[in-house]
Amino acid sequence: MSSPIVSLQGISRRYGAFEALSDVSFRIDAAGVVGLLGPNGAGKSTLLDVLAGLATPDSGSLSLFGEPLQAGAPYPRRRVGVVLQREFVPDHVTVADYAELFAAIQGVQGGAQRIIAQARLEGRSKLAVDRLSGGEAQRLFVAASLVHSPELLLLDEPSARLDPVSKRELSELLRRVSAKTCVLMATHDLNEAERVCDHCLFILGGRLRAQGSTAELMATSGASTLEEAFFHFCSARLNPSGDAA
Amino acid sequence: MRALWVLARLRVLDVVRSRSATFAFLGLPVLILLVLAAVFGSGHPFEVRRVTVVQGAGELDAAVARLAAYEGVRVEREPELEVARRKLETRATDAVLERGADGTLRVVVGSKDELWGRGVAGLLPHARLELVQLDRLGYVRYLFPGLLCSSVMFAGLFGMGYAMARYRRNAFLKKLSTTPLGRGTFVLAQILGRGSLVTVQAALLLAVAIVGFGLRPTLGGALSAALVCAVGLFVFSGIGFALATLIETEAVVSDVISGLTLPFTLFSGVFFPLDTLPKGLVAVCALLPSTLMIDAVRATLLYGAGFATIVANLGGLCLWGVLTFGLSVRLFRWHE
Repeated sequence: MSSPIVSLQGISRRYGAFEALSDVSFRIDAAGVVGLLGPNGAGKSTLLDVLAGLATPDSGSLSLFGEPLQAGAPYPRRRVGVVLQREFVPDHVTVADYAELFAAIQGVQGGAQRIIAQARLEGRSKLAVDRLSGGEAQRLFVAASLVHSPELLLLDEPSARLDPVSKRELSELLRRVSAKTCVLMATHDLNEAERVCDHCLFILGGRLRAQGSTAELMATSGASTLEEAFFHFCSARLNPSGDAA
Repeated sequence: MRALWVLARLRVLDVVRSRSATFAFLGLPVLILLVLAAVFGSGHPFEVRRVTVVQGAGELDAAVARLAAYEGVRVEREPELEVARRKLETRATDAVLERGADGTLRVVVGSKDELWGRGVAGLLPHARLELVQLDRLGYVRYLFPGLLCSSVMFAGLFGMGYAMARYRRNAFLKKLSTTPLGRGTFVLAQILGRGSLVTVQAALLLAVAIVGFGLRPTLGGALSAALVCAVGLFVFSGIGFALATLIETEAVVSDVISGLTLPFTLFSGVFFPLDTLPKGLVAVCALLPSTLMIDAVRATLLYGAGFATIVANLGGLCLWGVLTFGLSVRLFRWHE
């Protein structure tokens, strides 16, 4: 049996008195789209930061691709792609510049053209990134994070601020990518998650409430939609702290 | 009316809640006042007159001692007659004391300084006053190295400090930290990018100074000055880098850099030599990276000094570079 792509055991992370993650454990064994679902402040971004090597857990163990990530150990950046919640591009940077930068950082020959083609921005490569529509920009960011063919792609609310057409396009892109890549995506859009995600993780108050395939989670909770399952597992409106869901 | 007070209160809290903004708003003006007091506390710098004695002038020691006894007179020695004359031309000195080919002692001053020259010559037995017509653009040439170095200084401070703070604030550094890009590569790229812009800027300034203001640097002098500026850019990029690691926002970084402008300018000899400052302060100012840079560029561009003359300044600048980058690398964080 091959090593899991992601494996977390008892991960906790505090910011001062605030416990952002508490004893989180799960593993992802194969490519596909995994949705990270939970209300605002549930710990989704912290969990993604820990997985992206941007934050160090206070306790617990984390392995990527079968290799434990220990403090001070090199992070496998060439095997992971990351799209942040809010991407920033310096002024006047064009689509071509941006694509060239990330292709160069990842050392991928011809990567810039690949990024532009995957983002379907061939006709707009000389345009400044801040002139793109939200959907176009997000396609560019996702394509840039995929240029080195990562085995794990981490996305923090990639469809926020996108219109329905752009959301649908992004979903299709992620479905295509997920044939070879494990995509872990934090999102608030439960319709999108139901459409795209093979598996889901429900997180609330820094604790993992439920995990499994999308169909299993809906069946377990007796829900007909993922939204109903979300409220079943998270009880977000009734108890946002998650202390006694 | 209530909205007015709430908005005004928020505006105040915006500053008060940030330590660096509070320092920029309250501390910097006081600092600037103290700087001005230190610089001008002993009077106007142009009240001090300088006499450059060309070494080898023989029995001048007694005369030098007599001149130096006067308050407001500074005497310096200069081995090269040509350099001393250039200092007179650029108003870095007010009189040159030299021995002519016929053995006579000469006090050379600009034609507008006849009265002062007569006073100096009157103190020295057998000295003859020589008036020379000084180029009216001479002082502009004195200012040029300071201006050039200020450009380098702010290119380094803003280019690194402002950009780093902005990139961190906007999570661009965070984004880069998710890639295999090393921090050394990132920092070096910032310096190279800014360096190429500064090179064009410096070349343009130099061309204007040569064509418009009669600057006549030697090739060796220009190359030495370019080397000093390159090292200076590295040093001030390091200081900008350190500021960006210590200050949260690009706006405050900008305020702090603007606040540093005046002290750097006044304590580094951009407008006048530093010897008018209190002695203890002169010693401190001489160690500032801006002073090391300006002195070396002035010596090479204006007075034709050789490379050996500026080695100490270059060494001092390199030490500053190591210190600032060492500190910055220790404090550096990709994201908030």
